[in-house]
Amino acid sequence: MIRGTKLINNKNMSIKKTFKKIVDADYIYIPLVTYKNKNIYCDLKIGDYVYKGQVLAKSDDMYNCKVISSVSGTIKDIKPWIYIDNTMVNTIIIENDFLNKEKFKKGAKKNISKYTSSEIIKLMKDNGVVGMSGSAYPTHFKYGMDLKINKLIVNAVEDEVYITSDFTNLNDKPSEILEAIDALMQAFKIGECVIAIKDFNEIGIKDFINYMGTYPNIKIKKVPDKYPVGYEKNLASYIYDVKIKKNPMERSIMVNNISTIYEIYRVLKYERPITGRIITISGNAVKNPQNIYVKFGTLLSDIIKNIGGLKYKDIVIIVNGPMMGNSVSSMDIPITASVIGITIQKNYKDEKTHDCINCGKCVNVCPVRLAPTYIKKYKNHKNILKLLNPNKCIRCGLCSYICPSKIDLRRDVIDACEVVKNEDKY
Amino acid sequence: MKISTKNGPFVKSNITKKKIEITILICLIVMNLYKIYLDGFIILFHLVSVFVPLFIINVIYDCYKKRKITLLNYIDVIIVSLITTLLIPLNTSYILILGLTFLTGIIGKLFKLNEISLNLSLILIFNNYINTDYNIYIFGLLLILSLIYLIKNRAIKFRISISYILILIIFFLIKKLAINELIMLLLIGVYVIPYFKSSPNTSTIQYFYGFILGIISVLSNYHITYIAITILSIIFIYIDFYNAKILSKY
Repeated sequence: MIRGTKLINNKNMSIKKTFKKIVDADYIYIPLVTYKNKNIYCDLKIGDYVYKGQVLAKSDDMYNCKVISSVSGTIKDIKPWIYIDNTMVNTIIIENDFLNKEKFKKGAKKNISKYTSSEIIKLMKDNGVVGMSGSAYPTHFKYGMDLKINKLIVNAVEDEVYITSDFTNLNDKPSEILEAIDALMQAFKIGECVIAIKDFNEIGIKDFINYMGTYPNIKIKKVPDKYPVGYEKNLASYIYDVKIKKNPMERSIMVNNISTIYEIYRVLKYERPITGRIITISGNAVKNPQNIYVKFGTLLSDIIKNIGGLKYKDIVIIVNGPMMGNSVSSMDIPITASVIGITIQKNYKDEKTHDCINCGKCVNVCPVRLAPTYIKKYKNHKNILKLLNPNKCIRCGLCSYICPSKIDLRRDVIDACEVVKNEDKY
Repeated sequence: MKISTKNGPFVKSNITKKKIEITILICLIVMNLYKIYLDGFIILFHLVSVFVPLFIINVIYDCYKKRKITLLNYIDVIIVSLITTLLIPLNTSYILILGLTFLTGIIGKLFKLNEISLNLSLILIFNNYINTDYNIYIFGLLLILSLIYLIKNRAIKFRISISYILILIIFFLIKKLAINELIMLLLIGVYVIPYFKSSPNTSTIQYFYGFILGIISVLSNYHITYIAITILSIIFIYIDFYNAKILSKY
């Protein structure tokens, strides 16, 4: 049984049959950030010309990720700029020449199912394929772990309220997604694949089912509309009815987001770097909520201008969904691969918090079986906290969501994590 | 353009403390009105005798903690008073109720005990006459309806009530429990045992707590039941904590 709860659904706001490709912005802001690394060195200088898809910088950590230019143009500046987590990071500012010049242009491959596993991993690495579910975890690293993959789960669950970018890919690109899954299954000798969707997504899979006849090893499975069913560990244990301690790969199960699969398709088909993605712009402050294709480095302010502006002047901007996302203090944040959507809400007065009434709702919904109420109670007792394992928290925010007293329990659990971590250091 | 930053999550469920309290209040007011209809305005005097000392203790406590005093903060005091009133023997003196509520209110506040069961267990030392001559069908129907309403609005730790009631029904079916006793114990099972402040939080322990109290209730008298609720509510908080500790490992 999956633990969690059904959330208020606000997805209808942004669902449309087609999505819009945004007009290029005059300036593109590429943060020198890769997965868990904000100190990427770049040896390019102001005035240098860069091509679309050119590697601007590389991380020297074990993930070996690349920072890639999404347009062609001239570097105007390299300076600290606001990032999606509200910190300042070094950012390359490129003046777009709107020519989209590429250094090496290759034609489209007719058949993408002929690649070997090592060729696919290399292509993923060279072209900057990362997890498109918000984590930006390097996909080449996931596939290159030298572990046997028996099963593939394509995660199209899309738990976050308001966000429908995965839904758009599922709805608009059925043949491409199936083709990419088939290529992965052949190259990595994966026996079966399950595409996990929520009941809600059923309207989007009608076209999908038409294409599925030619792929007998790919199946669709509906999962209950409970948040956070899309969490990898939950999803894999629900679909295959197995216990997973840390990671689905311990059971030879690979989990990929559906948007990541589409990016893999583009890389296998065109052998070109990933330079943009579909994101959801939604929320009650947005005049025309919708899904749009955005080039990496485009500022949110440029996107908002392009889609019709906002309804209110006092707002909260949420990056990556209202449940797990964070708010930012500026409209000038650049869109990166780890942005699944932006929700802009009218700034309402915060609900008053009360003392805990010991209702136990937070304990009974926690997907990783933590007891937030006890963690909050003992947050200053390091030895007791260690026993309650707050570091298992996945930051889903369900405890804070469900709390009738409106206590920010997630904050307390995160604080407790820090206490336990600091204790371990000494 | 004013852009504010806040801590997430940015959506919250529509279950609020106020909503829970109002749900419980509605159920209790209906039950108490029926009791007033049956037994007269003596019930109102009981209610005042329980409410006044509890209210005074809470106001003093809030003054000590330098909290803002508003009537809305004392809905739980009204709830505790209404539950206690439902279960107090009819011929109990007001002075006794007043004195014992004052004492149990202080102990309950200091040690976070189930003040309802503590109060009733002390009252029953002095007055052990329980009037169960209600129209059991109407009273039973009201109880079942309020249980459904409470579960539907998620205003109760339903696992505790369900396992407790299940035990009562089994004993009723094997004819070890009379129907009027069943209704009286149902009242305890719906309002006293799942009392938020002093009951376990993890689901398995909630079932176990209801089960154990169910067995004690059918095999003993009301007095022992109230004492058991008070004592077990303390013991089960520790059991619940250890269960939470074990669950968090997996």
